[in-house]
Amino acid sequence: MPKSDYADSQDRWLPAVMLWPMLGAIAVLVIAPLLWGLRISFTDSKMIGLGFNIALTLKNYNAVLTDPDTWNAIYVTVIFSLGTVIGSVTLGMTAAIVLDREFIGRGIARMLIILPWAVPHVVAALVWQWMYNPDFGVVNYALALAPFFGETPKWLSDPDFALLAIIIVNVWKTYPFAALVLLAGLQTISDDLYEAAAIDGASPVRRFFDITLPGLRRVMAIVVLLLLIWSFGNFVFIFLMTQGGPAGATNALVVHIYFEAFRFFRAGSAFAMGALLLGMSIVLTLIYIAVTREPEHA
Amino acid sequence: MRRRDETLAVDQIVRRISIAAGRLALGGLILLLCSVAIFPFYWMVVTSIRPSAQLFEFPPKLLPSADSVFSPYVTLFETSGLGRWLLNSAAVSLTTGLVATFFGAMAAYALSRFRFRGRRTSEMMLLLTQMFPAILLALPMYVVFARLNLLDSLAGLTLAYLAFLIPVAAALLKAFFDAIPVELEEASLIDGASRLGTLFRITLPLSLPGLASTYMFCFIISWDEFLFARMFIRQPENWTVSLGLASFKGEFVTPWDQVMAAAAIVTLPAALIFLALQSYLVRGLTAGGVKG
Repeated sequence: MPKSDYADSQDRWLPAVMLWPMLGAIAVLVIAPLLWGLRISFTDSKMIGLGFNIALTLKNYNAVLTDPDTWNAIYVTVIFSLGTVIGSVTLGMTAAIVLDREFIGRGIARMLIILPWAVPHVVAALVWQWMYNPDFGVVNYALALAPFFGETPKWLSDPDFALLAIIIVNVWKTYPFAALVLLAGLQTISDDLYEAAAIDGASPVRRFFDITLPGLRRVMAIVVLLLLIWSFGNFVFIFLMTQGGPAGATNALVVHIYFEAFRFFRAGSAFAMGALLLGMSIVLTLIYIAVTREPEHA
Repeated sequence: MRRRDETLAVDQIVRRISIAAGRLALGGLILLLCSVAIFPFYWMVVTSIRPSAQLFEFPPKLLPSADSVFSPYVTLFETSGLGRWLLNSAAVSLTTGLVATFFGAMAAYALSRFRFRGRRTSEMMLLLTQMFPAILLALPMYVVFARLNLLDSLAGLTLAYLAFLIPVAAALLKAFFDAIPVELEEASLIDGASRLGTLFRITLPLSLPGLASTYMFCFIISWDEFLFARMFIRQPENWTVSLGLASFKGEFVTPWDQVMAAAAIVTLPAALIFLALQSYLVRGLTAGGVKG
């Protein structure tokens, strides 16, 4: 990090003046509401009353933690996030390895492959919903053409397929990010290592597991954690495509909290669940910080 | 002697075949990856120009119909609020980008160039605010904004976006300022220029690509945003494009040709900006861990 040895008289007050708008914005628009929300989670506020004088109670936490819906929401969130990570990293790694090679039209292929990242979330949700249409959708048309495939699923309205369907959309939307970051990582691995391994007669599979994967360890950790964090907070796909249904099959924590607050007007328990989500995100963020800070100390 | 020649020749043929097979496999993989990526876009456009009578046919025709119609692209502006929503989104996104980039740049410069107490804490706060799921900010902010009468207004929505985009802009720009050598600033300071003068004459002009990219990034995040808009905005005349698009989905029958036409219109500016930004984003995202 650059540090100038030359100082100016303005240097005494300038940092504060430059920083306070951002810190102020964070304090007023982020920290304060967050603390207020935490306060509400200990009351039985109905979102409209929201007085400070409501008595403190642990009732919400008690109710939320004993409610099977909460545990279902946590389960759905974890499956959704892990599914996204597995799909996105696999597809992204494949794309990165392909794009790392030289071939005619690589620039165009690269551009096409990252396009899903560029599409607005709402657009992606709508297009896929149309493609998943059980009667007229192009997905089921393709499945019907495939051999050995019995009855085509009803996707978003089938409890067994809805979550998978949304994971597929999220993988499609996020894998370009994984591909680009992993590609950047691949390009930092020295060719000498591969040449040496080739001379030693290591097979391509061996080379992948002994050189490529270890070389990508840190980049891979960043990709996995960011994908996890983003999937944890993903609201649009589930909200627009299934509203958490059918029968709670896609009712991830974020959507669950939203409905608790805006459909059932139970602010207290919505914020209590928010606190749970907050806890999980803080854990992930701390891991992320530990991973990204590593090389500075090394 | 001849035998060896023959085995050599066979070897060579085998090797050529395997190279050709490898190329073919690579080519197939590239084609497959590209089609997975772009098919939904293709399908969006094909659906948007299909006569509505042919939408609910099975099997669907994969190629555009011979009697394609482009009328949805015109009638949308007449029959729906799309024009209004585009203007609303443009206003919110342009303002958010401008303000976030300005304050983000100031904070980023301070974090990049000065050593002071609380610097690490500030950086940590910056990162933490980006990592929270949006609903954790949106819900309490909704309560606060309800009190301040900021709900159902585009100004309020802009303010909400700034809350998470100023830190994002600061993170992206800090990586950018860190990459500009301090020696350039030192030379200017030795020549007697003030710190601010140096900032405006040396550092900022050199950072123009970074500032522009940050601006565009904040623009597309605001353009794309749905959760805050959904929670904060009520009246259709205040809708942004995300809300407007989502509203097309009918209770019983969805006019998919119109939905896809509107979706294509909304995608175009975001996608163009995105492609211009992509290489910069990878660097910024992994350096600062920014929302995407």
